[in-house]
Amino acid sequence: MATYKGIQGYSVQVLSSDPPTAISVGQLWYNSTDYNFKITQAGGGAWATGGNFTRVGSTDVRMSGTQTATLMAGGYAPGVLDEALTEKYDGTSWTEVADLNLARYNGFMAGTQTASVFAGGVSIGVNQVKSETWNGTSWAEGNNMTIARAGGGSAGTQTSMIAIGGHTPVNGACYTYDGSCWAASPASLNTARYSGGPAGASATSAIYAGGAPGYMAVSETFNGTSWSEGHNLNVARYALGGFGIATEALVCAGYKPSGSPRDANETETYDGTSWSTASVMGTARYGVGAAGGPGGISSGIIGGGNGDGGLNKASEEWNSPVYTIKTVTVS
Amino acid sequence: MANTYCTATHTGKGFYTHDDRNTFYLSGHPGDVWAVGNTTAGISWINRVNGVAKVKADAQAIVDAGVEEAQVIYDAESEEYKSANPRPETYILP
Repeated sequence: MATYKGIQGYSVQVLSSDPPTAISVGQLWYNSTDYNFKITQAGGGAWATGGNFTRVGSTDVRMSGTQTATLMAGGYAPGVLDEALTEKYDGTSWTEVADLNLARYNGFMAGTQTASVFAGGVSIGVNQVKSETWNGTSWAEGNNMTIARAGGGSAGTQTSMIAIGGHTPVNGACYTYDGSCWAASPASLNTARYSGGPAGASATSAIYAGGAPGYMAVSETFNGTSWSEGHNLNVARYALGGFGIATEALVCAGYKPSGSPRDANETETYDGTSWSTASVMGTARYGVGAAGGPGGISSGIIGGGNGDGGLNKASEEWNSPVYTIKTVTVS
Repeated sequence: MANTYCTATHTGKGFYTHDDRNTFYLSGHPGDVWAVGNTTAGISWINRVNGVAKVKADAQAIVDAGVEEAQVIYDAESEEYKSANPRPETYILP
């Protein structure tokens, strides 16, 4: 008969407190404080609630950074209209910081909580060329985009960013930012569109999935030279949120052509080849902001958005895998 | 398994956890209505968040009222907003 020591090479450890979950997956131990045998399991990815925005509900906000160091800017709310508000998140709560110089929504944003870019977008009904940079404290005017653009996707960092597609008119052209100036990207999307789900680490590596007009499922990846069409999303939609990198991405939320409700709670993950369905969000919505940082899809955050109940100020945090400590019982 | 329903105020961080989501069905709806898997874990969550239990018909009525309220706000919005955002629609709770 196999024994624990025979399999693991050591006896069941007696610990006064539970070990960190990330390093104890599959391990069994005896907790001498609460007198229980325990194991750590790694479950599938899932969403949990994050902090609520300090502002009222808002749609078409933009986010950058990571799940525990997020920056959110811009947006739109009925009654408030175009928003200049900027908030930062520490993994627990949102705090208002210095406003954008130009209130707007549906812009292009990339970077970190201490170094971001916000460009383009819509202000008072007009697409904008203005680009602002964030230094961790305040927004400063940067060099303008070469064309007024809104509603597309964005990915990368403050010094290597790509703005993908957008409107008006519906466009597949892309633009890159090097920390100083905007320039036309060497390649355009094969399918012109806006309101897709973006992800990517730099101006030369990105993915863009779904979008409008209509309800698109198309997904394209960018290698720095050209956009290539890949495996379609399982659920066609627009106004998605996305984060991750070109070879490991996540999209969620959006608005679907059918269903009840048509607001999407579906999550899909990309492994470099195809999109797979994952655990759904807690609240269906569209027009969310999203951020995840450079680490793929192990963690990320979405927030805000619109839906059948109106605007949303809640955020949700994605983690994969989800580690849990279980008490071993005899039954 | 059928769902059960409650209203509960979304308090932000920790309102539901990753473990909750991997353990029972949960979805949020207008009017702070939550559809919850009718399991021991789901009922425990309702108690944890001080949820007020609702029968489905009452929960649906709260959702419908929330959607109608959102429709009034939407209808007062600009054409620019309406062109980019679909009008809220009523739907049937899961």
